Order: sequence, then C-alpha cells, then structure tokens
Amino acid sequence: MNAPLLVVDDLNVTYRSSRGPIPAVRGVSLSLEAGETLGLAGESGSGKSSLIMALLRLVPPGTTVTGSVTMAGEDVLAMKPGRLRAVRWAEAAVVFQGAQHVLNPVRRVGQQIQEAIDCHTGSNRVDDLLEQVGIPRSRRDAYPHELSGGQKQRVMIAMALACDPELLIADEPTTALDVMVQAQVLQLLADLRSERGLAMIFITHDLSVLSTVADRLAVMYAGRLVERGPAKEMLRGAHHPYTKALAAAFPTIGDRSSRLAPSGLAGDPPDPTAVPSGCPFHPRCPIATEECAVAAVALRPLSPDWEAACIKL
Amino acid sequence: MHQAVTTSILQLSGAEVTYSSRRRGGPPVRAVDGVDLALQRGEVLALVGESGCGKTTLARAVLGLQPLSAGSIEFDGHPLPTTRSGLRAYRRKAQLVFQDPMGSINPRQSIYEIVAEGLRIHRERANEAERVATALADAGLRPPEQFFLRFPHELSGGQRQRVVIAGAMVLQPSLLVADEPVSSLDASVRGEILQLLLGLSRDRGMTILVVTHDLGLAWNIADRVAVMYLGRIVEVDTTEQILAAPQHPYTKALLSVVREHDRLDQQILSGEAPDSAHIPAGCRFHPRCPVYQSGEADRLGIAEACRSVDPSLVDGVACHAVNPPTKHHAS
Repeated sequence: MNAPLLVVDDLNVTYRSSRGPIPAVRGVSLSLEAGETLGLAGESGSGKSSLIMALLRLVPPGTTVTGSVTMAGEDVLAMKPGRLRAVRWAEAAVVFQGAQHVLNPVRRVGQQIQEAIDCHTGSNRVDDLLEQVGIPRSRRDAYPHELSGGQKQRVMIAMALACDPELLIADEPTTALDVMVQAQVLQLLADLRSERGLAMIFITHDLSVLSTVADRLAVMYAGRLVERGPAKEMLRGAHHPYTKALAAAFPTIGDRSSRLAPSGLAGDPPDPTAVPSGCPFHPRCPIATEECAVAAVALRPLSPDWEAACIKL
Repeated sequence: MHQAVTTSILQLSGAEVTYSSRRRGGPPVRAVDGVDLALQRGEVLALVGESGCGKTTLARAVLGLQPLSAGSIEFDGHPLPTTRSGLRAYRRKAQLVFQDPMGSINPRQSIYEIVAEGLRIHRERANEAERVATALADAGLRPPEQFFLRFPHELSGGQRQRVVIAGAMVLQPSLLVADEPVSSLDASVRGEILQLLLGLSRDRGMTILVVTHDLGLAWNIADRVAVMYLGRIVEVDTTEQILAAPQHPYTKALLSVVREHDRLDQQILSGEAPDSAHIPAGCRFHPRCPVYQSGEADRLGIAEACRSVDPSLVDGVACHAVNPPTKHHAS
C-alpha cells in the first residue's frame, strides 16, 4: 500500500452550544502512513480530542464536521452507519484516557473484551489478548475494581486490539498512571507497534512522552496545528514559541538551565469561543509583535519534513 | 548535619501511621512505617514515590490531620499538639495546598470569601480586606480587587490554583504542604505555579514540603528530595545528588523511566508497588529490586541480609548494597 493509511484534509469541528457555535478544530490537515506513530500534543481545549473523535465520527449530534477524513481509501465522513461501525473497531480503535470511567464496573473484564470481539468477528481470543497485554489469563473473570489502574488501562488496550485494527488511537493513555506503570504501558504500546505494525496516533500534553514513542509530532493550539516535524528533534529543537514553551514545561533532569528555574507561559489557553485575532498564540507569545495580532498564520515549511505556523520564523 | 538539626522546623522521628484493615481480622496497613526526616527552615523538600507509598498519609500526619500510631513529629522544637485548640493554633502555621483546585474550593463562594475563610476561622478580623488583597497579589492575581467578587468557575485552572495558594498564604504560615500542586494543570501553566512556590520559599523563607511523583518538578524547585517506598524513606539527599547520582536501586529505577533523563538504562520494575498490608520481610524493596533479582546481591554476599534485615537509613540511603551489613555492625 502506497497511499497513506489516514488522510485528514482541512477538518473543522464546530460544537453547538447555548452560547453559540464553538469551533474546536479549525482547518487541520494531516496524514499517517501504515505502521507510523504520530504524536499529537496540545493542552486541554486545544482541540486534539475533538480532532480524533471526529476521525471516527464520535462527536455529539448537532456538531458540524467539514473537510474530509480518508481511511484506507474510504471517506469516513460519508460512510453509512453499518460500514462506520465496522471501521471503528476493525480498522481504527481508540484507547481513551481514564480507564476506570470507561470500563463497566459490574461486568467481568473478560466479558467486556469478548463483547468487543462478538460485535465484529465472533472469534474467541480473549485469553490471547489478555496475554498479549501482559495480564494473566486467570484475571479474565475479574471485575474492573479488582484490577489496578495499570491493569485497567491494559484491558482497554486489549479491547482496542480485539478486532486487529490497523490504527490505534490512544488519548492520554498514561496520564492518570504512576511513573513506573506509565513506563510499563508505554513499553507495551511500543511492543505492539513493532509486533503488529500498528499505526498509532498518540495524544498527550507531555512532549517528553511523545518524543520517545512517536515518529512525527504535531502540536495543536486553539484548534489549529502550529508545528509539525520529526518527534525526537522537536523536543529539543522546536521552532514555534508555543512548542518551545511546552517542551520546557517538562525539564530535562540534569540540565543546569532548568534547575531551580521552572519555565512557564504567562496567561492561559484561549477560550474556544473567543480565539484571539491573527495568530491565536500572540497574547502569550514571548516574541510577538503588533503584526501578529492581525497577520494570518498558516503552516509554512521550514525544511522538507518540518513546518511551523509563525510569521516570525 | 549536626548543626542542621538545631535549625530544622519540622522533625519526624520513627513516625508511623497504621490503619486498621478494611476487612475484619485482616492485617493492619502500615501506610507510614518508621520515617525519620527533618525539614530545614526555608527549604523546599520534595517527597517522591509511587502512589500507595504513603507520601500523602505522611503529609497528612505532618499537618496534624492524621494521628501517629508511633514515633513523633516536632514543629519548631515542640511535639505536634493533640488537643483541638492546640491543633487549630498549629494549622495557622502549617497550611495545605491540594492538588485539584476545583475539588478543594467551594464553588459557591466568591474568591474573597474563599481566601478570607482562614482568617475568619482563626477570628482575625483586623484588616481583613487588606490581608486578602495582599495574599491574592502575592499569589500573582493582580490587581486583587478585580478578583474579590468573582467565582471559581469564572477563573482558569491556573488562576484557581493561585486562589488556593492565596488561601493558604493569608495566615502567613511558616510551612506549606503542597500535594501534587501542578498535576491537574495544563503544561504551559505548570511552570508559573512552580515559579510562585519557589518564590515563596526564596523571598519569604517559607518552608515547603511538596508531595509529588513528578521528578521534573523536584528538579525545578526542590532543594532536597526524599524518596519513599512502602511507608519508608529509602533515600534522601540534595536534589542534584538524588537526580544526578542516585544510589538506591529504587531511586535509580524511578529515574530511569523518566524520559527526561537519558543517561540511565531503562529499568522498568514489574508489577505495581506492593501492598502496605503485606510489607516484605528484610529490605521491603527486595522482591522488586534489580540488584537482588539479578543475582548481584548474591555475588555481593548480601542476599541473606536483603531477605532478613530491614536496612536503616545510613548516610541518606537504606540499602545493603550501598551500606554492606557488616559495615553497620562494625561502626
């Protein structure tokens, strides 16, 4: 397959609310090759969760989605409900954040995984799946409350893998977990990726996590992509001032410049109903000038595989 | 460190907190199991460890919210009071900052009322408005009067955490206990709140005990780091020493999985931290310890000690591989 697994073109997601329309995603384009991992970074309200929900049409009724989403050559936004249901598990599956709120507390975890399989294929591979995610088979009859946070997240991953998807979307899969358990889950995802050739979209606000798991990185701010490039290089050599600030928020231990010098940005992420004019980041930007409040900004290439949306670059 | 003992504001000696088991007849849970720790006046100490290691229980004990089952905690050279009025007076001097600002402030109170609450509880009526304004301004909410009549839902997450800090500061305490002060905040806001805490220590001489699992936070603001495992401090030293040259195998493993740290080979410990109702015999870390599990402890001739002798904190490290058992006996 030469065509990319996923192509998103000029996607806009606008929620309806009593206060009027809320534009959560504003003109995002991206693509993902089979087997590739894309890290999607941004803070709460930046639109990253809305973006991935729109990929699988999991947005609430009344939400306007424009642009196009093409998965393995098919237009997702035009699919009939039956086809969409098949695609949702068999081609792309989501691991949500906060496993404790997603799993049904009164059903055994084995049944919950089986349910995901039954809906789609009918084969019986719960035990294999549990083993693949590192949970002993004997735990299939456990209820979610009998499992630890890390184990619950593993069950979620097993469910997502139940129908052999090509694409796994992981929305903050490790944020609620302890450092050691976080490392275990990241290791599991990395193993699955290399064993199964899974493509992944990995969402978090912690750039340091992304730089180790992702091939490429895309950073969102106020519903737009502000920078996109190779993951490892971007953690240390970000161009966009917002990406720089995000990277600096999680210091390198051992780096003298961050010792007793926490780095942050003044101000808060913008309210999606009142996005600043011009470059939406300009009110918080350390290098902004007057023209930033009026100039239109779009991603512009800095090098063959690197783009940033900043008129100062 | 002999001189340091005399200037410490807080001194924990053999502190223990035991909860009775949830199941009838079950073994008691030793959440804090013999902690010796001193905080110097004006320092920022980060207490780090996995969830369930007892760090939050220890913080509660320091605030007098949780009675000790053994050992002692001294504040300014005096044991923590046990009477209601004594504890009330103590809490003027030792204040808590919770991790989730939305969960720790009353959504129906105005910002003014939230910050003034401490003053009202302690019946300090003089100059209330002025003191609230100063606390808000000190917490970075300026001009403070603009915030008086606003409600928590009108503020951003970072501003709410500043309100919580202002509420703690209004009584001008000398000790602040912050439990995961930035874990619920956005990445770009986190640095600002850490700068605020660091400023309180540097400009006001505030002593801060920050409880966290975030080693980057410790690197950003802490003078010293204490690493807790299953109710016990297993290593304590300056932040530079702990984060750049850790000695305890548990500290090494914790650091190796922090991706910001690329100089150590990753050592992912299997399993989750074991249960404090069943603390292993000998060194409590030995069932997960890479030194013990790899057979290195056998080669060092300490494996038996790891299984049977509970190591004490010697020169800031509780590990038989670092302080071989024969050495303690000799000294």
